[in-house]
Amino acid sequence: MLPLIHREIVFKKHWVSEESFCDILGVTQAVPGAMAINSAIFIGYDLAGVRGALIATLGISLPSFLIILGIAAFFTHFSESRVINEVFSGIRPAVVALIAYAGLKLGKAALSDWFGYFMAGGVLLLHLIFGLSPFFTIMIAAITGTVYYKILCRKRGIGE
Amino acid sequence: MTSLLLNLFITFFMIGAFSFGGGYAMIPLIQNEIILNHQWLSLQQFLEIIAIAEMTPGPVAINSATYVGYKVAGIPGSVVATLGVIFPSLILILLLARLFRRFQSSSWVSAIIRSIKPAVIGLILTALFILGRPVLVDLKAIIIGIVAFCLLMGERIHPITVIAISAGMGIIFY
Repeated sequence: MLPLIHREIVFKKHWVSEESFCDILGVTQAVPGAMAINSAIFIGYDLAGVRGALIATLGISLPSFLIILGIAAFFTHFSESRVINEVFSGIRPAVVALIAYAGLKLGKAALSDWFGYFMAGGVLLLHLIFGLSPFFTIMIAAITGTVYYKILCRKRGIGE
Repeated sequence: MTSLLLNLFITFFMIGAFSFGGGYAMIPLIQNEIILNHQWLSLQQFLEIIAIAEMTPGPVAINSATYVGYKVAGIPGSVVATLGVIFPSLILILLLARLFRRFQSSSWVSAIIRSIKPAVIGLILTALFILGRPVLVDLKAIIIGIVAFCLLMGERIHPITVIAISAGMGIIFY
């Protein structure tokens, strides 16, 4: 979705400059939630304050919201169809493959040092073996990582 | 009904507040809250929802919320769940937008962001296990999964087309 946002907002409407767009990327990655929604909120706020943020968010959510409602209503009536079941039997493994692919791509970008691998693996184990809630594991990871990286910075001096 | 809707809102608010790294990282959160904790849906229903959220336009996060909300409590449920998942982002960004410059250069903040990224990978891996185990049970599913994965890795074919191809394989195989 990102190239789409870039094309519309930066290129066509000139509402945001290239540099600001990079800032937006930074914010949307730091804040929880879908990147598309976060971008809409931020750009909307930038252009027209709180009202702009709300309207932009409404704009970006409404189409998918309505489409999903339509599909949900449709499938609730047709769930007994044999063809639908076969289609889903094909789609489910594809979704798993999609998640694996996304994980691989993100992993290459996000895991830069051994500590990263350690944390990713740790989170996975905490979930699978200890059955911890993701709420806890994220907090544990954030605290552990922050402590580690702050100490790392202190030991090495200024930069990271 | 109202207490169910309130519950739904709060649950998705919490999910939205912890959904760093977007859609796929949300899967363990949703599974934990919706399937294990509240038992509003079964794992099979959840798998359907993820599949559909994938194929439709819009972020997976929002689509999943809308669909889960609908399954749990009809149209009011879908509205409430979608609002719930969006609110934390709204609040955080509106609060932070002013402080943004200070926010960006803070070393505490960069440390936090640096630690969240691997955690997100861990969450995605968890999602892989949670969904992979029930789905990849028979040979046909495994074959479709491997083919889909190879097509995606090739990076020539659009993901939606890959899903369509897999749907076709589903019809042929089953």
